[in-house]
Amino acid sequence: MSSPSRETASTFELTYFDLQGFGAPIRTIFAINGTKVTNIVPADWAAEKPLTPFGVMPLLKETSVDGKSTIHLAESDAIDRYLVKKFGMAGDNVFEENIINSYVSNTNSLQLRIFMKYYTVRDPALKTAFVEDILGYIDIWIKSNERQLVANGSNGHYVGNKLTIADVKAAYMVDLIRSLKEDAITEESTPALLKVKTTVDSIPSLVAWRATEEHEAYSEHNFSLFGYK
Amino acid sequence: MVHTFHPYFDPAQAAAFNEIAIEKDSTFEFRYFPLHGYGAATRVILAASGAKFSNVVPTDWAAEKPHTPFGVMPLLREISADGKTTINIAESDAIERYLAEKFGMAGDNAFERTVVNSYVNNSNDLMHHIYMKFFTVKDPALKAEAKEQLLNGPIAVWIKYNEQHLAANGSNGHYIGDKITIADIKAAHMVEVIRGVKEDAITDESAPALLKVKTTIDSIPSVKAWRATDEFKTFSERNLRTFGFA
Repeated sequence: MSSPSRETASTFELTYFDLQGFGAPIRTIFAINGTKVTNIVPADWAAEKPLTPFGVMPLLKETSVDGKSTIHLAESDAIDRYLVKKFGMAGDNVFEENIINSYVSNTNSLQLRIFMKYYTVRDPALKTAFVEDILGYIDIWIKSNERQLVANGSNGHYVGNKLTIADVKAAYMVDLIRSLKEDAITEESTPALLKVKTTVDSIPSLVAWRATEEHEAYSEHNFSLFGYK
Repeated sequence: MVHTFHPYFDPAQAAAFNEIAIEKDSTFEFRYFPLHGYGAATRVILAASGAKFSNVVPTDWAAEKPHTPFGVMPLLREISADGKTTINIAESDAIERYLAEKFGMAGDNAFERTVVNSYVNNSNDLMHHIYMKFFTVKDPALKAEAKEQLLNGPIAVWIKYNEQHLAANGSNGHYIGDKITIADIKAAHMVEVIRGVKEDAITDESAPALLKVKTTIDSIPSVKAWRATDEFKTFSERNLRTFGFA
C-alpha cells in the first residue's frame, strides 16, 4: 500500500451516522480537496457493528481508480491522518508534522473535555458547574493558539503559508467554543483565530459542500442531539 | 499578547529538528508528574528503545506552567549526542508519535502505520474515557455508576475487538507480525488502566491475547529494568494514591 496511499483519484465511501460528530472533519478534508466522498449511513448498525474492526464508526473505504484494489480504514484519528498525508495537509517534514501534531493533540484534548464533561452530561447542575471549569481551559487554548498564529503572521495558518489539518481542527474548535460562549472568539480578542476560521470557511469547495442539503441535514441532526451544529 | 513563536515551535530550528529527529543516540529528559498517568507509555517507549532518559519532576509547576506551550505536561527534551542540539516537544500524543517514528515502532509502511494508528487511536479513546469519567471523578456515586457503564460498555468492547485482532495475528504478543510497535505498548498500558477500574477485568481466561501483549512488553530487558527501579515504584505508589491503581 506504499504507493497507493498517495493516490487521490480513488473512490471513497464514508460510513457514519447522519450527523456531524466525528464524521465532520473527515468530510471537511474531502471537501477542501475537492474530492467526492459518498456518505453511507448503515441501515442496521447493530447488525453491522460486530463485523467492524472495533465496533465503532466512522469507517472509510477506498477503491483504486482502476477498481482493482479496495482498502478499509477504521478509527477517526487514523482516517484523518491517512487522508491528511494523502492530501498533503500534514506538514512537509518532521518539524512541521510535530507542530501540527502538538496543536491538533491539544485541540483534541479540549474537544474531548467539552464533549465528555459538557455535551454528553445530562444533569443541568453538573453542566453549569463544568462551564466554569471549561472556560478556564478555553482561555489557555486561546492564548497558546493566538500566539502561534500571530507569530506565524496572522495569515490564517499554523505553519508557513500552507493549509494543514491544524487549521481545520482549530476552525472547528472556534465553533465549539462559541457554542459555549458566543463572545469568547471576537475580532478584538482573538483576531488570528478568527482569521483561521474565515480562511478555512472560504475555501470554495468547502463552501459548496456546506451548501448541500446533505450537510444541512447532518447539522440539524447534530443540533437536535447535542445542541450545536 | 506575546507575538513571537514559543521556543518549541520556532521555525529557525527546523533544520536542526529534522536532523535530530532521525538520530537514535540522543539523551532524553521527560518532564511529568511523579506518577504513571499520561507519561507511562512514553517512558516505556524510551525504555524499550534502550535510550538514555531521565525523569524530571518540576519543583514549581505553577511557576513553569505559563512558560510551556500549552500549560500542560508531559514535555520531552532531547539533547543530541554531541550536545549541540536541544529540542523540546509538548503533548503526550505528539511525543509518543515522534518517538515511535524515531525508534521504528510506528509501522514500516503506509499500511502498517495506518493499522498501528487505528489500534493506538482505539486505545487512546478508551484511556481518555476512563480518565475523564472515572479516575478524575471524586463523587463516589458518579464513580460507581461510571465504573459499571465503563466495564459493561467501552471496556468490554475494547477487550472483545482487541482480543480478536491479536488472536488473528497468532496471539504472539503483537498487533503486527512479530514486531514491537507502539500499538503493543499502548495496549499493554491499557491492560493496567483497565485493571485500575477492576482488578480482574483482564485475566488469562477473559483476555489471554491482551495479557500476552503485556507480558511481552514487560519482559523486554530494558523495560524490565525500568520497572524494577525505585523511581518506577515511587510513580506506582503515587499513581495508586492519585488514581487508585498502581
